[in-house]
Amino acid sequence: MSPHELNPLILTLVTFVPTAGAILLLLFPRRASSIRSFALIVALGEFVLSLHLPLEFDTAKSGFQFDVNLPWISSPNIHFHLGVDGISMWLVVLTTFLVPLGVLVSWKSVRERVKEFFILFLLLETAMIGVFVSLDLFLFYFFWEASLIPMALLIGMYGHERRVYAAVKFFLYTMVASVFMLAAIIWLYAQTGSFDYLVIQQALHGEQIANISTAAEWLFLGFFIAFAVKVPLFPLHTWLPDAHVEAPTAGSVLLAGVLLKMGTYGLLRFNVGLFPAQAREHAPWIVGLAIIGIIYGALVAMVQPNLKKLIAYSSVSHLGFVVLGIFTFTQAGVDGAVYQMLAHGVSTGALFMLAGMLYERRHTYEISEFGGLATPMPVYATFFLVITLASIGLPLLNGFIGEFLILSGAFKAKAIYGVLAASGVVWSACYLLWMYQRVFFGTVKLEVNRTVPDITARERLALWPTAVAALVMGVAPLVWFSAIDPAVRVALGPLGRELGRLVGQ
Amino acid sequence: MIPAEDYIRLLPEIVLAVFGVIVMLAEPLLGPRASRKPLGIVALVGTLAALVATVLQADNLGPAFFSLVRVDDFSVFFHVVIELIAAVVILASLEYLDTQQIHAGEFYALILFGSVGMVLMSSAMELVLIFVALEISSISTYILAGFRRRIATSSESSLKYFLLGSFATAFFLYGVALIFGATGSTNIQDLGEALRAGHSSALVYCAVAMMFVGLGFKVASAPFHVWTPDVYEGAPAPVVALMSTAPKAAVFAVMLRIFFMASAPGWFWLVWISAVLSMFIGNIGALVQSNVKRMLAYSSIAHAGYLLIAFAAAQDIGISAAMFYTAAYAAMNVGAFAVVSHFAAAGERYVGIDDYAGLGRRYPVLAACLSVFLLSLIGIPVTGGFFAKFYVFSAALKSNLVGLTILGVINSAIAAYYYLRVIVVMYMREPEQEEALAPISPSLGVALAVSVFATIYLGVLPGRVLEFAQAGAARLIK
Amino acid sequence: MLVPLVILAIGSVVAGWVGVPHALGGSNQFHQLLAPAIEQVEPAPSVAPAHGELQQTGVEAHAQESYTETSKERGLMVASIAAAVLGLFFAWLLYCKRRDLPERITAHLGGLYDAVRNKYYVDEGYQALFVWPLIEGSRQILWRVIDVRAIDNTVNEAADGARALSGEIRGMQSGNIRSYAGWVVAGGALALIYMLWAGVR
Repeated sequence: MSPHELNPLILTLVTFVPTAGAILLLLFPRRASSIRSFALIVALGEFVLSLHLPLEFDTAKSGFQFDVNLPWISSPNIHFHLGVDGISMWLVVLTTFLVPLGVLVSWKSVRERVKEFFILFLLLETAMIGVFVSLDLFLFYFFWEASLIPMALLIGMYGHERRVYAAVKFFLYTMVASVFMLAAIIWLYAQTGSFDYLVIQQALHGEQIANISTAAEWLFLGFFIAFAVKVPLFPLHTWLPDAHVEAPTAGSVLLAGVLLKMGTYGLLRFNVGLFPAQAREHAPWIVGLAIIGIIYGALVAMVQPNLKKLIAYSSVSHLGFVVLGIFTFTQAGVDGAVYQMLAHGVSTGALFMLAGMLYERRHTYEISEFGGLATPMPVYATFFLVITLASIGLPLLNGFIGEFLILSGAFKAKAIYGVLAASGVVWSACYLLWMYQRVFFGTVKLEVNRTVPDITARERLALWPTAVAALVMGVAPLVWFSAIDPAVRVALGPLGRELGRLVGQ
Repeated sequence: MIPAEDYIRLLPEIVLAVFGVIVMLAEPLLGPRASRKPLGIVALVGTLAALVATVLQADNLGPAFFSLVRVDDFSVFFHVVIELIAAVVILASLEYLDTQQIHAGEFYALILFGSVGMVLMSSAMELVLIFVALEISSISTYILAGFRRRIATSSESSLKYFLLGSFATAFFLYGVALIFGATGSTNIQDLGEALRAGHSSALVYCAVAMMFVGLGFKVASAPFHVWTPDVYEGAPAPVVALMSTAPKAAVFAVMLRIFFMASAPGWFWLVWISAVLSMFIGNIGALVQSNVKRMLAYSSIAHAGYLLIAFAAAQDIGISAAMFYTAAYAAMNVGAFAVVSHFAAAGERYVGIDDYAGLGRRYPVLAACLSVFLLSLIGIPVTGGFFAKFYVFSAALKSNLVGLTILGVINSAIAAYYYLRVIVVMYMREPEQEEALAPISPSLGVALAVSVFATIYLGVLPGRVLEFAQAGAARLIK
Repeated sequence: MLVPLVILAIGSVVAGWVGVPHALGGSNQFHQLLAPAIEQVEPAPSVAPAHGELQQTGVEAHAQESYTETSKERGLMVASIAAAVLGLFFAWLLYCKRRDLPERITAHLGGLYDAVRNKYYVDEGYQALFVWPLIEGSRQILWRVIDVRAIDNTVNEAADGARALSGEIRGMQSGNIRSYAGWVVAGGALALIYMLWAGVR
């Protein structure tokens, strides 16, 4: 069948192929090698399938594409409504990109209960994709909650020493915050009779709802809490370091690479998309928290003795940038924020993969246990350097584009925002380079590090795509912006004014 | 002369009673040490026959026996729910009785007789008849609670339940007497007309308060809940499965009838406060429990609270939400207790939460079933528990009960912890005791399958069941 | 070391030859090569024609000022060569002719010499002024106090508080039937009082 015919089905397929894979895995005998291979095949097939989206995406049309809208339940009025715009489409592709890499990275490190691991992994993929493609608020909440259990189980069953504490903390933190979002969603349903995103957006902007002005405050905050915990925004971030440190490598990759983006995506799609007036009103303190997150995250990252915790705090810092970009309400800022979401997903996902490879060799994440690793592991060190530089935001790599655009948007919004946020770039260079120096440069201090093996072919296979992506995203951002920019323009439309235009285009 | 349709309208009760009598008569025919499974099968057939009878009834709606009884969509809904609960409980008990060395077939007869009382409660239109049915169901459950008669806690729970239950029922009866004194009738429809016409006096309010005490006790709502943890802990697990779901459903049906059909006045704030107290006491009390049955008892109290929120909401949407909640809650609770009853093993040795450590690894299917029920109790999407809570909160928000909804939502979040703890223990801890469990018997397998299916069905396609509930609700307030 | 230096020396001579300035009669190829990328600076106001005619750009302007420029250039050339020769001379003096001089000079200079040797202690200054406060500050204050104590402990204490409350609620279950009945009566009494009040209203 021609690609066009696939369009109405593609989102349903992309969302549920991983679940189908998980169900098939249930029938497999407990042979780790066949399970792993099958999971990889499903994940790769899913990635190829998802590529249909950018290839068939029409950048000239505004609004959501590949629309699927089927009634599911008549009362309450819930529809199986899926659709993507330029922003969510690339987030879906990011997800399908990282999942096979996560499978590759877990090849040898998951030895027990392998079947359950990959089943949970694939179910998690469905939930994550579902969050990005849902246009029905109920469906969105459904997938949002659905992502909690697989992730909590992955952390709690396959993680490290304090995994149970971390898993429960992760689950409860996110769930408690999400119930407020549920209350907001139900309220909106009670007032409009529909869960459909577009219908609700119309009703809110057309002021067709009774007592909307007082209620909108609370609705905004209800949604905000749920997303702020997920991003994570200071001071609600303390679940992240624990969750990351204790999670298995693939879990961390998806947690940082995709799950955190669910929070920022939610802020853009719902808080800004549905409640622009409240967003503008609350922007000052939200931006304040974002900037605090940027600087605080970076400074605390600097003094972490544990490599994974350092990367976790760096996520807090980088996603502070994203939130800042979103709440500048400028074309440049939001463009940069979306791009940074993608870039961060790639680079931090890769950082966790690299950390995991180190753990497999030395069973520790403590920086003091390393030192001079460039000598025994030169190829690994090179990959690590490329990704580190991407994370810092070196021009020609993907981190630069997003950060630069966010900063330009921030400056346009208020100079002080830009100044403070720009210092964050300096701090991130500080802690990442210092970490790199302590881990790789200098002489090999500990004897055991001398004989550490360099990376294997399989690990190389997992890392190359990220390095290539980091480079390509850094030099050819227009490939992504052709879809993202118009979508951001539409998203900012309700905000009425355009304080700045995309710099450089 | 009593017309034939009347008998049809009472058919499920008649069928259940007849089968109960058959079980009683057949009991001495079995040897003193023989398994009582055959009797269980007979009882199961009885409940299924009653189910068929209920379906037959559905075409025969209307009053019966001089308007003492009334079959409508509302009563049919509860009949089906209660009969299904009874069937699943019987399935779960078939192996339980043998494991616990209980050789008294009266067990099944009592379940059947109790069910008679419970289904009768949902179709009764006379307060006195409601009282009689309430007593029938209560006395059956009092005896069932003490069925592990060699264990002290079981007898203790039975006695406590009996004493406190009678005490509370007395309140209810007194309320009935007061309302008779105030309005001159105990027929629900007549009461409705009288009270809607404005004949409510202070006496009626007092009557409602009294009835609320009695009924609130039975559904384990605060502050009348104190008996629940002790009684649930001591009673045999399948009996708790029955006690925590079927009589609750029946009494909630009665409350719906009295509050809405009879238009009892003034109960809104009673329900509001009771709902909030039940949720908080239930959820916070459960946080530190180490015994699974006690934890589920506190969870029952909390769920009674969520259900009462639906009562506080406006009529049509609130009633249907409450009805749906009873059905979903029944499915997940019966299932959870079925797993507990199997895992507890002889003498109910393994009822601590720590005993469940590593269950995910040793018995994945059992653990998966329990996880489904626990997730439903938390209210995770894809399970019936989620939609149940959703409808309740929906109804509350539509009626502008924002405060109550926020409290309910916060409680859902608090509750997540103690349900999650069991899942954590099952999957994320190493097994401590190595003793092998008996394999799951076919009857228990069917029971679990039905419960899991019902829980997930209500979570994925709740529309049909909700429509039934809405039809029943509409009938109630017409 | 010798070979690279030889290569560099040859390269230097070639580069110098290519870039011989106009002042010495050569054609400065570098200047023309880079001309498109380098903006011509406007001539100084004193040199601009009084009747307001604007500057001429390009090589023409350069040619006009060539005389003044040439003498300046020549002067600079002489100065830089002189400095290089002087340096050569002192290096020969200190390290070939009179080897004892460096030590006597450094001993004489004392602290000043140490300061210069240690790059004026700029690195240490940075360390004390910026690096150490930042790192220790982040470690002790931001991480230990704010993140661990203020935020995390708050969360953990909320959990402990819930536990404690749960323990209190457990206390309701005394096991004593009469107290249970007491709860029922208490609840009933409150309900009754409320309903009486509501009914009388």
